[in-house]
Amino acid sequence: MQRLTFRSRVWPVTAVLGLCCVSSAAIAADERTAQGASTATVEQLEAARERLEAAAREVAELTMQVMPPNDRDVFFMVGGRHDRPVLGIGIAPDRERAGVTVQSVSPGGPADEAGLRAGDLIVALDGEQLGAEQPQRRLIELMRAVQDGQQVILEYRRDGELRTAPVVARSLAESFDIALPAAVPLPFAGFARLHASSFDQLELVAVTPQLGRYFGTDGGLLIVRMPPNGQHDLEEGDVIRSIGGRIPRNPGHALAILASYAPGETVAIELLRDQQHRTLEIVVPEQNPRSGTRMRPAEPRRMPMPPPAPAPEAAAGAPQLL
Amino acid sequence: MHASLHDLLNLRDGSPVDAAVRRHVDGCATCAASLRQMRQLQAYLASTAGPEPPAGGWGRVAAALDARAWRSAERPRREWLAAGVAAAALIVLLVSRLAETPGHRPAARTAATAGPSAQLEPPSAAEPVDLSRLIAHSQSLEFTLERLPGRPRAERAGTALMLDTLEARIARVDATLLFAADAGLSEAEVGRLWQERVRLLDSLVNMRYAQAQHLAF
Repeated sequence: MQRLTFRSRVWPVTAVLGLCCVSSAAIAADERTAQGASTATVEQLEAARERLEAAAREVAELTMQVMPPNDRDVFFMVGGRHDRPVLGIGIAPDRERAGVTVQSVSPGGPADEAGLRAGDLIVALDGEQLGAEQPQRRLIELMRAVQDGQQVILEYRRDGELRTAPVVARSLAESFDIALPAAVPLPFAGFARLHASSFDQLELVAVTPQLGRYFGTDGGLLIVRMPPNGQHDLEEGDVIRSIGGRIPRNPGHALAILASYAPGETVAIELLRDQQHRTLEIVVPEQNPRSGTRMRPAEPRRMPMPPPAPAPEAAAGAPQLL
Repeated sequence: MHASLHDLLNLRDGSPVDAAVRRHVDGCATCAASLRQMRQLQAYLASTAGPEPPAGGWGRVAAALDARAWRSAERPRREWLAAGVAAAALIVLLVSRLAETPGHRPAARTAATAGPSAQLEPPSAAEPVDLSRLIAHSQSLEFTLERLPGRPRAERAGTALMLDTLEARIARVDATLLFAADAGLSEAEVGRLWQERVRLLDSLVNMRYAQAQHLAF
């Protein structure tokens, strides 16, 4: 069997993504001359953006498929645990400046949320200086005493200026849980199936206290937009309270819960509609047999497909992708 | 009927335009305003200096490497990479500045339209691991990500789950790298982890860019 390489699998899709970017942006300019843009052009623009998002997702999924997951559990090897809290940074020692240099910041992680960047020099944690002797090890030791959810104060230097940042350390357990779909033999069974369903296209927002007062709830996920081909009984304005007894934290988590069910299984969705509690029984869909791929681009909302991008522009705009 | 985008771009760039279109633009406040905005944007971009790479990022990477690797034989390569990072940062700046200026987004043919992460080719699995290049690439992608709009509160479930999954896998790689030395991982294994990080981050940037495009509508 021919081995699938990163280049052979991902680059063709990446090239399409690049072309989509070019065509999307080219068409997007019409929107900016709003008074002169025809309805058809605006519709083409939206369709192009739908394809751009779908292509980006396909690249992401293929990327995770072609990369063998790291099967060495370093936490076990060093006597650690997955539930230990971390700051979400990669570091390198800088003995000359008595600290550790941030080499990488995990996107969406604690340090990212606190505004740290690659290049910052961390010199102290909660007032404890890291020093010039093994500052990396010193930071790791200090972190061992930190509990999940605990706030620590990092002192760091950026462009010579000493700054401080409160960072809430978080456990890695959630990352390990959610990363599991990419670590099991692919394709992701439940994940892939739901990509072909209208659940994938649900647009959701977490209910804030202010929104909650309006809807008569203290939490949940509000359905902002339903896909045009929705095949279940959910409606825009519904607030999803639980899925199969589990409370979804955010839109991605809602889909992850649904993806944990096998095709044909029934799942109970508790929701609020017109401030009334309801429970819907929803049958988890089979994979769409017509899709032919694990991931289908979002249905353009009854919009015509845009013409292909002009060849000269594509060639000029995306040489690195080909 | 107002002038098309194509005609306005041609007028901006001094290319031939139908006389009737030119007359219309001269007499139409809306089209004239659009053309003026395009010219202002073009002039602004032309006068924009390239941004600095991530604060001290490249210097830190270089300092962490064996100095011998950066002597004369490698110097041209380092300069090439630094130029690549600077070019990437410029692309990012263009994207971010245009995104911050409603009604003044790229007039179709700027380099920014090639997508945010297209500036550096991710390394091939078959190529020998060049840790410094991977770290520099990783930092340039983080630099790009930082300048994209944040994740919206209302998200499509499928997009949100993929973004969450990418972020979680990156966090897992980062945590593994943090303890790589203690766990006795080889240099090749560390290199593969950085490769994985760059590819995941590249996908994340592309997805966030596409999401931002979608939301701009």
